[in-house]
Amino acid sequence: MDTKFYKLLLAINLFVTIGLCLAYYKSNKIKPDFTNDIIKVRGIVVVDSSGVERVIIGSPLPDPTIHGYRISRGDYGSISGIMLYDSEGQERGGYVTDNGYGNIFLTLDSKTQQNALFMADPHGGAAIQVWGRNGNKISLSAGDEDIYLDLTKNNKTLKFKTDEE
Amino acid sequence: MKNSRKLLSILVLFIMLGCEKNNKNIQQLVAINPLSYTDVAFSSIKDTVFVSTYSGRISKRIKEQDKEELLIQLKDEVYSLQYSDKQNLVIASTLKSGILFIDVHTGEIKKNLQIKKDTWLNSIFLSKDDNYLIGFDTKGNNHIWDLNNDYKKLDFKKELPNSFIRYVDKLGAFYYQTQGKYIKWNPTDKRIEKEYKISGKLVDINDNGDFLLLNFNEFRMFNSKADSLEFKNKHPYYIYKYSNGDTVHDPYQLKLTAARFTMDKIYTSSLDQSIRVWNKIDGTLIDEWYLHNATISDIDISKNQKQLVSVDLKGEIRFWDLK
Repeated sequence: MDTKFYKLLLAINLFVTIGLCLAYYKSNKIKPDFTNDIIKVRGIVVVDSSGVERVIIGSPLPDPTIHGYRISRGDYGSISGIMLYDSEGQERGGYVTDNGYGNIFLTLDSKTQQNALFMADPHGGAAIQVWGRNGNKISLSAGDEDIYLDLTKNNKTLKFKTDEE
Repeated sequence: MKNSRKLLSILVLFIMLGCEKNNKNIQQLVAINPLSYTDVAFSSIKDTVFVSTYSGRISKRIKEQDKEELLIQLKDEVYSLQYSDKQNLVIASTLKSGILFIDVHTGEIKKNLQIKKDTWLNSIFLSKDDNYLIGFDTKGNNHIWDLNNDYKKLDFKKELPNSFIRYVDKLGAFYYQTQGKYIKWNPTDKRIEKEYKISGKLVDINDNGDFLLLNFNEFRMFNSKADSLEFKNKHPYYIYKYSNGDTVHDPYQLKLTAARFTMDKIYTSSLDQSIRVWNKIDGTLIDEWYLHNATISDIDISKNQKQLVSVDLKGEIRFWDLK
């Protein structure tokens, strides 16, 4: 009984192996055609001619690269969406949602920091912020209660409100 | 009993097929970039170094040879390299595999020091006597391994809370950075030897005990004996290069990426794609080298201080013979 079973198992194995080999050979010859398909993936990487990643669509996206290493977005910084990278592979901005609170961001980064942010809150309200180093920053935001325009120059804040004269 | 064996055989077959499918799901969107050099470390008196990439390649580069000699291809990113003369090992800090000790002749991984999940070390430092390997991870935990004591981990978290280990000097003293100051720590006696009121990332200490620190686009030369800042400076401008070879000086002071002492000079590299040479005595700019065409990610200086090597994020490497 035992020998019979193992013979049968061997035959099935051989049959499956030959089938897989044929399928593999055939699949290598046929160029896949996805024009009529919906593609479901966790990530797509677009690389340039040197193999450097220039666009990543992913969920979640990887932590940011910064001149030779990678820094962490933090425990609550996980995001998903589209990220753009320059020709050195440095993260330079993206269009993403965070995986926790639910904000949506459009960001533009220099090689060392984020410099522009356009963000919408999941519960309403939105903000635009642009900033350089040395405490220069412009913030523009609108919510259900009020609107704000904050200007900060060399860390000194000048605040405007809707009802200010 | 027989039926159980048959069932077990079929179960194993299904598990094997299932595992094959699951393996495909653990791919990550990292370890892609094969071009950018992330770090460089001399492995001889001159002309020979090891380099690393985001794509996990660690290779030997020899001056005036265009091709790399592959040491090992890891399925991981490599951020920092150190070379151990004593043991003939390259030590690599990676994203997911921890710290790897790699035999320079065979490419075999001799030792693997694990780091907690979801954290890694962007920079590791090997003491000049090869006794200690140090660094801190992305969650701020210090790691100190005693390489002469079976890689035993040393922990001074209780004595030195909220501090980051940055350097080990030639006498074996540890330097910790903490709120606006540095602490010189004696690990044998477990006591603070001295405190210095200076901030920035400590990247080098010379034979006189002077500190070289980086603070974004500024470097600082600190006289530890006098406990005073000798001078600080920035790259004065960005050298924009036209395709015909002409240059123009743009008034940007970009972030510095590395700095090293020699006997009489200081060398700094930057996002501005240049290396600047400074007088160590008074901080005056002596020379500027701008042959790189990408961010210079790291520089290293040979033990006899006669050669500097620099690597960039577009895979360029340059050896500079020092006067």
